[in-house]
Amino acid sequence: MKIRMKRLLILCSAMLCFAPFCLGQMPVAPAAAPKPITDADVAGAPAPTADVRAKGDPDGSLTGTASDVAVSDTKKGATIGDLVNQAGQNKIAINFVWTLVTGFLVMFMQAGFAIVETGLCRAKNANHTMMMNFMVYGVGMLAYWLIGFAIQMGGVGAVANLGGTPPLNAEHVMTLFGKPFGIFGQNGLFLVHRGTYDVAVMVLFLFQMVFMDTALTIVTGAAAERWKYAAFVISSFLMGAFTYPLFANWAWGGGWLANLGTNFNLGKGYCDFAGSGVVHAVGGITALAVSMIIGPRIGKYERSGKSNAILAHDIVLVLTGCFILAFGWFGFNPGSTLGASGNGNLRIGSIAVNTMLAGMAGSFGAMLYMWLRYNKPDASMSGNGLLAGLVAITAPSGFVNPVGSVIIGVVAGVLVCLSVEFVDRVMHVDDPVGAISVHGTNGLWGVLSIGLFADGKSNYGGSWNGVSGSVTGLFYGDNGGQLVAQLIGIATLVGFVFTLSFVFNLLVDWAVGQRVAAKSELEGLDLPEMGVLGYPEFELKAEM
Amino acid sequence: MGLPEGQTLGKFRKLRSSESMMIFVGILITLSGFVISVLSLALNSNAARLAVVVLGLAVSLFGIVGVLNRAYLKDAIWKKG
Repeated sequence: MKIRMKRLLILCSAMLCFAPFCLGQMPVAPAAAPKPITDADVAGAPAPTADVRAKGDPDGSLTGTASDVAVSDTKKGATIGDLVNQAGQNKIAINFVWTLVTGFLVMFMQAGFAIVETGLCRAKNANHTMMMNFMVYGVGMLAYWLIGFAIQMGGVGAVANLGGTPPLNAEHVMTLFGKPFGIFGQNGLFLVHRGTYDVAVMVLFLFQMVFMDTALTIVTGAAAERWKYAAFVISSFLMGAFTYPLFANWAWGGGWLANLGTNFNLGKGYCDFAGSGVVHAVGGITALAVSMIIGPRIGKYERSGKSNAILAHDIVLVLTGCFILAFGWFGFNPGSTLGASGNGNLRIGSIAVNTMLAGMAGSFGAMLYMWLRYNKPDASMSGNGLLAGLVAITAPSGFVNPVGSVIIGVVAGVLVCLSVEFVDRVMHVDDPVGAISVHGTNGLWGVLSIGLFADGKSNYGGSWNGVSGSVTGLFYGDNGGQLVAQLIGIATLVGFVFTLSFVFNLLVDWAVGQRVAAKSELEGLDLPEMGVLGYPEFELKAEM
Repeated sequence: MGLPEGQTLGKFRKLRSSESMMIFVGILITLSGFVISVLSLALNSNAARLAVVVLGLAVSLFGIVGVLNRAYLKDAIWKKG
């Protein structure tokens, strides 16, 4: 027994002695430091030979290798510096391609707007309505290239996602309440002025140009079927050159609204991720100004003030156009990150989903409202509900979660119906396509919703508008500062942008007249204004 | 449907002086709402700023809906039949 105990003690002692080794607790000699990669390692990285490549690469394993890294000195071969430069260029290339492709999607929205507006108008005005939507692209672009882009972005400073845009560095600033107020940019006239012939500036121009044109084309819908073509051209030019760029500078170009956070401690300053305010509210508010000046279509209101419905001529076009717009919106909102790589840009996934959810919720909101109120699920208002949801989510899409998006969309869908009724029956302002309500009213709702629903989870490089942290609304613990910043933006849109648009269009009315002759309006504008019928084989009847 | 006389011109509709004055006043009121909202930045409390901004917004909306739009409705073509 004693011998057994003795053996057991020896065994236990031995186990205690070796246990640390077994359990890895004993200090071990530090491992040799990893050998730093040298230029020689990089230069010696394996790459397929020309013979191997000549046989083709059906599975893609030989394409895109060390041999594709740009080399600064062919004698030395690839160096670590070359690799780092290539990584940086890859990041910016990804962001360039992302921004350009999403810009192309936004450009295609012009087609959606064109057929939505034309479908909602009468057949006798089809050519005129299409031509306004077609030429607003060129008229707006010309104005924006000449001066608009410089006013909007001439002082934006470095746009990190595009590799910096150093030439855009001159903002005109005035001092108010002891703080700097950015008013307009000064570099970038004709895209060559003061060094702006620059690859990053070109990408930024393309993306911002298609946004500006979206705002301009909103007005053509509200003023359709009675707007004199010459007046449309001048009015659109003024909007693309001055009205839109000025507000866009204040919100996106380093202007005073964006800096409400840094200067007055109001949240992260005025926030508008993709343009509910900058694009849609500016367009909708200008549409209201023009529609008020131009007056309603003949036959729209009876002497008693009763409103008559003037029916759309092609609901197929309308709903097809709505789908095109919803498709283009995937460029509008996710593209507004101006990049897919770095600085929290992987939010593009949630931005795209927020966009589609809000559009769905908007169409449901409008369809159910119309169904309950008028006993039919109205097609054109369901389409407008989709657009209203998309408009409303445009500003908050980068800052809210999916539940917030659906709530914002449903509210927008109902709001567009209420607003159409108010504009039509209370204000007696004729808006053939509902543009004032879809873009104006819901643009303002989208701006406001950030101050309520922003969940504080987004993080685009750690700050927004120069204020560190994430954009947070009242429902997620903000002290109300963000909501005030958003309301100041809304007050600027309603008080300043409306006034500027109204005065510009009064001047156009004074100079060339905004409205066509009644005879032309009754016949339809295709022949008197454009010289050719949109549908020459149709039998059209003039109202008499 | 007869052609409203005011619309047959196809150019700048001649507004009566009272309507022109109303439009001028409407523009001033709408713009003053914006100025009031900007003046809220001179305050320190967010609650006070909120109140002043909402006041400015209301003033602008009154200028648009209550004054400018009413000026155009006063002599609207559809009222003449």
